[in-house]
Amino acid sequence: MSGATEHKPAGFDAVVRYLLTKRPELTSIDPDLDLVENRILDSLGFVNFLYVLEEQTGEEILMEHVTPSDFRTINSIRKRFFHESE
Amino acid sequence: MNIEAKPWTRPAAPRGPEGWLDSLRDLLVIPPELRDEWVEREAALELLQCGPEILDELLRAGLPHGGTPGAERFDRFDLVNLALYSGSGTSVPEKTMRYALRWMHADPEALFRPQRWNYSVALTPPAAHGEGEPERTDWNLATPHPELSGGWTESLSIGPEGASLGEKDITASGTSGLTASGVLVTSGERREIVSERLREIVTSYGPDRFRWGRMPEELQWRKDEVLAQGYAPCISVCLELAERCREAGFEARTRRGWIMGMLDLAHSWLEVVDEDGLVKNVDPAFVILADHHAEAPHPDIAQAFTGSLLNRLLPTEHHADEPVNGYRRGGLFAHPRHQTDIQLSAEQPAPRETAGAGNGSGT
Repeated sequence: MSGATEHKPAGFDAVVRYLLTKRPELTSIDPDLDLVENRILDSLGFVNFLYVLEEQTGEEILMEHVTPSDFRTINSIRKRFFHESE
Repeated sequence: MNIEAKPWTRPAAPRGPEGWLDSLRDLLVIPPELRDEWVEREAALELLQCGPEILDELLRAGLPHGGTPGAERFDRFDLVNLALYSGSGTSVPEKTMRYALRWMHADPEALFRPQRWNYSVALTPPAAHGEGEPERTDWNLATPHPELSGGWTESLSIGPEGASLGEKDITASGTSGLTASGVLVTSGERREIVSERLREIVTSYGPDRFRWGRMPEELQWRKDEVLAQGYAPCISVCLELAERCREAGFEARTRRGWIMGMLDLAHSWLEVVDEDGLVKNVDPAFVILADHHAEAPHPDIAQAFTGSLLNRLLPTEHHADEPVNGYRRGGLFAHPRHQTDIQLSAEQPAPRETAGAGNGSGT
């Protein structure tokens, strides 16, 4: 076991980190960037993203409680799932 | 009926390469006239999550594809159905299905109470048609009828100006699109099949013999071809059951609508008049999905899908083989692009006396 401590991001930061793995050439994501149009979120990755969101919010996300617009931008994700203002 | 595919049972533990090869052996291959091989190898690997070695093994074993070696292209439905019955547990279709079917874990009583939904549908021209020549277009969208299962319409707005609200369809002509939005309340009612003969018929396409699959609507209409391969998607199985019920003397019809809270998913089920005079709704596709793909289905859920009316469904006057929306330009039909948002309302209705869900002979 090494003595080094690895700081894993948690909560909202972990969600952003996960989205960045979808487009490795990006170092950051504009909070108002359309995640679908810019191919950061697509149908293939959507369910995995939901599981990440549930893990980081600690809450179950039911399909009947969400709309596609909830996932459109970093800001909309933060407002809808982390209850934070922009 | 001689079914080609072996019965599928959910594996107790994730399966390896042999699970993929078994799934390929029983795959319903989308026929040439309906195939669309546009999924590239990289996207296929992302969807299947099986790794390149297994994909190459599947290719050697005959997984249908186009393209060239190393740059193969696949049909999306083939890949989804291959993954669903691979038993890998990690493919995107398996995970998506587990997620989407969580509502089947709850006590079925939750399916019978009134629920209020914010409903919004927007139709736009098919991508291939662009925005030109709206004067030659005709649009239709199935009119929602929540009252057929004991619900009601609180509000419904349609557009653009000139759109017409009919019993069967909302229609518009010479426009660049069609919209409908409002607040709908769906409801349900626990009902059970009384007639032994009817029960025998409607449970004969269960998960012990059939599997569910994703495929174009046009293929589902060819029910004999689909069922013979061991697949019972909602349209095919309802069309078959309606025929068999009528042959046995029961008044029956198929009905098309939407599954609520699934973002955008049309569905079909059977309505049949039982010997007690009540309409019973039968949803064999839900029974199969619960058994094969829900993570922890409630033990009584299959019974709820065999007779009861459900608040999870939004009925229309369309039959199973009628698309819920349509677009015609110069008289030629095409599937329009559509965005359907159906979200549970923040405020739920108070318990209300209704005149009786679905009544006696609503077929």
